[in-house]
Amino acid sequence: MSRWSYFAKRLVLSIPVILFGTTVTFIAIRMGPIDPVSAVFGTQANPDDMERMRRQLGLNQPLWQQYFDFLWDMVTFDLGQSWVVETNTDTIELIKSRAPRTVWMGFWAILIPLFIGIPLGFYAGLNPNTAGDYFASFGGIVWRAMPNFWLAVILLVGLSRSEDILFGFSWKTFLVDTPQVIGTKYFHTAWTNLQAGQIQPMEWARATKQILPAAVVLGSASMGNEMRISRTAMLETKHSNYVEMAKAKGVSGRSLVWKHMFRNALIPLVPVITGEAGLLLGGSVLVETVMAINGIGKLFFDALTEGDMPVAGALMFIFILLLVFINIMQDFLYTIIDPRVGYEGE
Amino acid sequence: MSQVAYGVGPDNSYPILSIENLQTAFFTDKETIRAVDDISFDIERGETLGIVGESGSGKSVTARSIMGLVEEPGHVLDGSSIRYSHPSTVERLAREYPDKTVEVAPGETISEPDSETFIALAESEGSGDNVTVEEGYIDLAKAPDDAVHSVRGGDIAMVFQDPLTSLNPVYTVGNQIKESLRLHQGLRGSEATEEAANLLEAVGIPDANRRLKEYPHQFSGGMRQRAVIATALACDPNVLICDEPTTALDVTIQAQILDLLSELQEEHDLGIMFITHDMGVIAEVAERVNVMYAGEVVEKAPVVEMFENPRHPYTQGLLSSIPGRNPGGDRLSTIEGDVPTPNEPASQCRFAPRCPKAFDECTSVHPEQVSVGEGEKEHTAACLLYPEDASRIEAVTEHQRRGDDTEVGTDE
Repeated sequence: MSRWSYFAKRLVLSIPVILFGTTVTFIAIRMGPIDPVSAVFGTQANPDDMERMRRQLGLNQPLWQQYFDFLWDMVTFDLGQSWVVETNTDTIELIKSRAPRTVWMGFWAILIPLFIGIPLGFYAGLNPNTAGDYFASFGGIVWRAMPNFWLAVILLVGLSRSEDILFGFSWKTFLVDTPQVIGTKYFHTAWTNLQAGQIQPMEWARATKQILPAAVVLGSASMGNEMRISRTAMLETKHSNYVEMAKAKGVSGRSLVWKHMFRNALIPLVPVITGEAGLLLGGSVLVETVMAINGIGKLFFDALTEGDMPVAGALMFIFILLLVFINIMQDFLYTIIDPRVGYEGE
Repeated sequence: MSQVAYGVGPDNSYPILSIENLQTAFFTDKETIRAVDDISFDIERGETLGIVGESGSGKSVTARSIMGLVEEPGHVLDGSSIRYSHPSTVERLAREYPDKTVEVAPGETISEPDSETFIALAESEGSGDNVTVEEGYIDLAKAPDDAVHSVRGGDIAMVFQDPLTSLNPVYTVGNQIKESLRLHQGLRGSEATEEAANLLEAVGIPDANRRLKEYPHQFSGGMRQRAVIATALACDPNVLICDEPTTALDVTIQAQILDLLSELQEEHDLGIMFITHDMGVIAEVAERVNVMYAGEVVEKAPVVEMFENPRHPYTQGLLSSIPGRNPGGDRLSTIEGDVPTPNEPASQCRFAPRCPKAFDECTSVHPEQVSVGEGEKEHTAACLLYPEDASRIEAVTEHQRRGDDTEVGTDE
C-alpha cells in the first residue's frame, strides 16, 4: 500500500469517528438538563414568548429531525447563529473573533514544553544521576503534579502582588510595562495593527509577556510530561546496542548524540506531543475561565452552560475535526521518523 | 609469553595487540566487582585468539576495555597495559603528542608505570612533528581519551553480539557503512556508495546497490550480522574484536559467518580476538585459546592441544559438558554451581568451590599462570596441580612465590 492510499484510507475511516462524536455532542446538549430558551429569558419568562421562540428555533420539531438537521448543518459547515451567548451573531463570526487569543495562548503553551521540557529531558538523560539531572527531574515532577486551575490562581495572585512577595521585584514593570498581569489587551492591538500591515515590536513584547503566565499554566503538565519521557527515551537510546556500536566505530560525541540518539529518542515523544492537543483544548476552557481571557475556551464554556446549541455544537465539531486531523498527522510523523513503521498488513 | 610466529618481519617484534595485567573493576556503592582481574595475552597479525568462558566470566568486559568503551562505574585500573603496535598509528600519535613519547629498546616496554607517557618508540627517527616510527607501540590503557577515540574503529574495530539491535533502526544500512568510510577512509558521495556496495558484496550480500538503501529491519539476522561486519571492515582495522558474533544466529548461518571472517582475515591480515562461550565455534576459528573464569584466564593453549589435552579442571569440565563429546555416557556431565562474582582480590583459586580436584591449599594460595609441564611452553594453566612434573608441595610453593612477586607490582 502506498503512503497516499494509506492516508486516504485513514481519512475514510475517520468519518465514523466524526459522526459518532457529533452525535454524542448532540445528545449531551439537547438531552441534558439545560434549556436554551429559559437561558435567554431568565426568570422573567412569558410562556407565549418562550413558545414563539421555541418554534422559531425549531425546538418543537421531533428530536430525530433536529438531530438530522444538526448533522447536516455540521457536515455542510452551515454553523448557524448563536442563540444565547451573542444572540443572532453568526457562529463563524463569533469563533473568528475569539480564536486569535486562544491560538496565541496555545502557541506559547506548545512552544514552552517543546523548547524547555524536551531539551531539559534530553540533557537529564544524557547526564543521568548528576545534579543537573536531579534538578530537572525533580522540576519535571513538580510541574506535572501542579493542577492547572491551582497554578492559575497562584500565578495570578503571585504576579499581580509580586512587589510584596518577591522582595520588591515587580512583574508588572519587568522588561515591559503591563499593568494588567494576564490578558490579551496588547495582543488585540498588536494583532489588529498587524492585519492593517503594521508591525509593532513593543506591543508584541507586551502581548507575549501578558500571555506567558497563562501559557505556562496551560503547558505546565505537558512540560513535565515531555521532560520525563524525553529523559527516559534518551537514557534508553544511550544504552542501546547501536549506540555502543557507533561508539566502537569511532563516531564522535556530537554526531553520536545528534545523529544516532536524537532521532531514536524522538520516536516515543511523538504521541506525547500530539497528545498534548487534547490537553490544550480541555485546558484552555479551564485557564481562560479562571484567567478571564475571552477566547474559544471561554466561549465554549459559556455556550455549554447556557445551552447555546449552534455555538457549542460547532465548536465541538471543530474540536473533533482537529483531534482527528492531529491523530492522522501523528501517524504521518511516525512514518517519517521511524522507517520501521510501514503501511503493510493491517 | 608464548608467541607463535606468524609472518614476523623486521618491523614486527611487538605483537599487534598485547594485553598485560589488565584489570577492569566496577565500583558500586555495595561492592567492587573485579570483572577482569589481571589477565595478559597477545594477538599477532593474521591470527585468531579465542576467548572462552561462561557468562559473567569477563569476556565482554575485556573487549570493551580494549576498545575504551567501559562505562561508569567501571574503570580500567592503573597498572594495566593495552599495547597496540601498528607503526603508522604510533607515528601519527607520536606527532600529535610529542611530549608523551619515550624511547625504549626494541621489544622492551615502558618501565615507569606511573608516568603519563603512553607512546613507546623502539625504532624511530627524528622528533616532534617529523618523527617517523618503524617500530613502537601505544598504551591504550594510559592514553588520553582523544587518542583512544582516534584508534577506535580505524585501528581496532568490534563486531557485536546481537546483530538484531546493533544497527541503528532509523538509518539505512548504506548510511551506516558510509559513516565508517567517511570517518576512517575519508570517502564521501558516490565514491563512498561504491565502496559500501563493494563491502556488502565482500561480506556476501547480493544485490548490494539495492540493499544499501534498505533499513536494518528489512534484513534477516544473518544478513544484519554481515552488514555489521561490513561496517567494521569499512573502518579498515588491523585488529577485529568479535564479541560472540554468531551467538544470535542459527547454525548454518553461523558457519557462513565464520567462513566469512576467516576469508576476511586472510585478505586483510587481521588479528582477531574471538569471544564466545561456544566450544564448537572456538575449535573452528581459533589458533590459540584462552579460557576465562571469573575475570581470570585459567588456561592458555593452542586450540588442538586445548581440546585433546585440557589441563585445568575447569577446562576439562567445560569440554565434558559439550553434548556428544562423551558418547556412551549416561548423563551429560555438568559443572555444578555458578560463576562467582569476583568482588574481592583473588587470594585463592576462584574455581575451587566447584572444582572436583580441589585440595586444601586451593583455598589459601592463588594459582598463577604456569607452564603445565616440561617443554610445554605454549600450554599454561593457572592451577595448583601444575607444573605437572613437580610435586604438589613444590608446585604450591612455586605459585606462592610467583604470586608474591607480582603482587608488588600490580595489587593496590
